[in-house]
Amino acid sequence: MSPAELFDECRKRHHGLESYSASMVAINDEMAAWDTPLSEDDEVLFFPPVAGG
Amino acid sequence: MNTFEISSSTIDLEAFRQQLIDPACGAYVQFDGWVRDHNEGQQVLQLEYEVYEPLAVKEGQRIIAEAVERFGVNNACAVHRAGLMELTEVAVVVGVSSPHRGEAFDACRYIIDQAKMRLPIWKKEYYASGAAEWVNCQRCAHAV
Repeated sequence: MSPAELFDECRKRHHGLESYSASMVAINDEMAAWDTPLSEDDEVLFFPPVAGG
Repeated sequence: MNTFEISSSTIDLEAFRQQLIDPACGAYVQFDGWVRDHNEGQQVLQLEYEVYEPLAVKEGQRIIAEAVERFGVNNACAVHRAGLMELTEVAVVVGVSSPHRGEAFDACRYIIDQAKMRLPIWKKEYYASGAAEWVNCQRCAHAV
């Protein structure tokens, strides 16, 4: 499973989540690509679009 | 000296500059991002930055390392604020020192541009109207 597939699973369960295309994903506190293969016990973080600076 | 930090208190700009002083360098470029009193037609009174710090620090250090590698500058540092901020306060500072000015300008620009796109930092604006809103990332909005 990839973060993209995981996000799609979350969308099925939680109303109001939209497409992830504008968001970022981190695996175990490292920024990652949406198609990175996940391993067991990975911690996945989804970020809304950022606007720092 | 290459560092990236998140600070929840006022940035000491003189101390920041001191750490970049290097006798091998003839150029120092610094960018300050200030809290501005308007955005998209609204009068802004205050800003708040929410930072996911473990990742912001790691990704910020990576951006600094990329700039040093890519432009060959001697030193690059940046500090980004977290928390509530007043008008004219320094929200972010980037400093680069190098033997000559060209690569220092380029590296400074690279760091602030990448920081805005990649750091997990969110900005909330408080308006004169009493409303408050999380600001969307423009580049991200266009990517949708």
